[in-house]
Amino acid sequence: MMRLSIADLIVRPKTIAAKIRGDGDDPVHARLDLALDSDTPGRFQAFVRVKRVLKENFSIGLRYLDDDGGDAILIRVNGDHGGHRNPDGGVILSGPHVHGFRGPTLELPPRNRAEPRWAWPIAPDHLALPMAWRTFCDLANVRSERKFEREVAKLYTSSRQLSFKAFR
Amino acid sequence: MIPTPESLHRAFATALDSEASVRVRRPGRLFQVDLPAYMGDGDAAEIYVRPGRAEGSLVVTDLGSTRTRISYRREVDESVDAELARLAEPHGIELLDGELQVEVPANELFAATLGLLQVEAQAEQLAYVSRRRAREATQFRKQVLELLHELFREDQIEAPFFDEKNDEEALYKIDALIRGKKPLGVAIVPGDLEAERAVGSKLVLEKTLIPDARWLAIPRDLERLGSRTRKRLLKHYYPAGSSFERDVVRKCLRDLADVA
Repeated sequence: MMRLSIADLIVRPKTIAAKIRGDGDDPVHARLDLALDSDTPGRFQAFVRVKRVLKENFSIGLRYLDDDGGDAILIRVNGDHGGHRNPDGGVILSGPHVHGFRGPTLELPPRNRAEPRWAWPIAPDHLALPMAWRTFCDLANVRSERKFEREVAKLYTSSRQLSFKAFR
Repeated sequence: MIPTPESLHRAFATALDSEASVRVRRPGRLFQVDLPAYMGDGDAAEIYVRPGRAEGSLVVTDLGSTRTRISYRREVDESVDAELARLAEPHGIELLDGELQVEVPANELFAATLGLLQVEAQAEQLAYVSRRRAREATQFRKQVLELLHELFREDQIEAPFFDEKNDEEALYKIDALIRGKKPLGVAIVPGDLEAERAVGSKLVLEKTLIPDARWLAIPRDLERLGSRTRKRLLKHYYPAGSSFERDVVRKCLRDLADVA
């Protein structure tokens, strides 16, 4: 069977099938992992990680697992974790950004362990996770649902910002 | 132009001055050190500094970013934490509450920062390596458990075995207990972590529940264990061969279990 390109995989319509994992007791990040449905071979997952002590530091990603055991991340929407350097040497000093593929790579099937190394800055209002989630859903063609938007918002608001324990 | 120590020092100092910066993340409490050091996906290594407990000391930390990055692709379980701690230890860095961190006097800030950078870079591959190892370990465990169930009746095996009354969380468990003339504690050992756990569990269980047990370790490959771990395991367990050979393991199990 012909394998789909990264671009095709990204634009395929996806819906949220189930929550795989919700916020656990990990001391450093709150998390949400979602299984996505689509008519594509392989599996899609969305993941959200929010640093508990810096809620503007988060990452939302679209992961694709093919039927041969390949595992690729196709897109990520990041908050502010610091800088980023693109393969051409261009640097984003800080602030929210989107990771993706570009050029001919986009037209190829994802390789195992693929990581989107290019990044583009996005508007500062994406420092808020709920806003970044909406952008992620647009970019990855995921039909969001109120229920999961609330879950995402909960991750954002439940972070232990500057708690005594975190900064003892 | 032929470089001199002075010109190279100037070049480094200038680069550091122009390319390194410090950003306030929470005034007075948390700062981020931006350095031109990038991970595989192009994102900068995350280095944070906050005031330490001791007067004038500083804590250099990744705020857990390393574990978070690994978690995109795999569960961050005890084996990941153990591997992270192992990578960090030579740099004097500890894994505490999920953070790679070290508390240093201010004049050691630079060295600590470079140490943390190295650990973060080394940990990059952990998501894949650990995942592969975990899969292999699971397969090995499954293979051995199948063999146990092939050899013994259900009423002769307890798998896993732990003190259900006093250790509800199963902190000290072994993979199986075979109830023969003498009980036989069985530890399946795919790697170092399981070997160390097996030793710890045996020390507890032989004092409490099964003082008269025999102890058998089934290693995937004894030679691949760390030398001290291997020594500890061999001090406490009889090994079913140096690597997994079905017939050898079968014979060991039959001989030692001594079941009716």
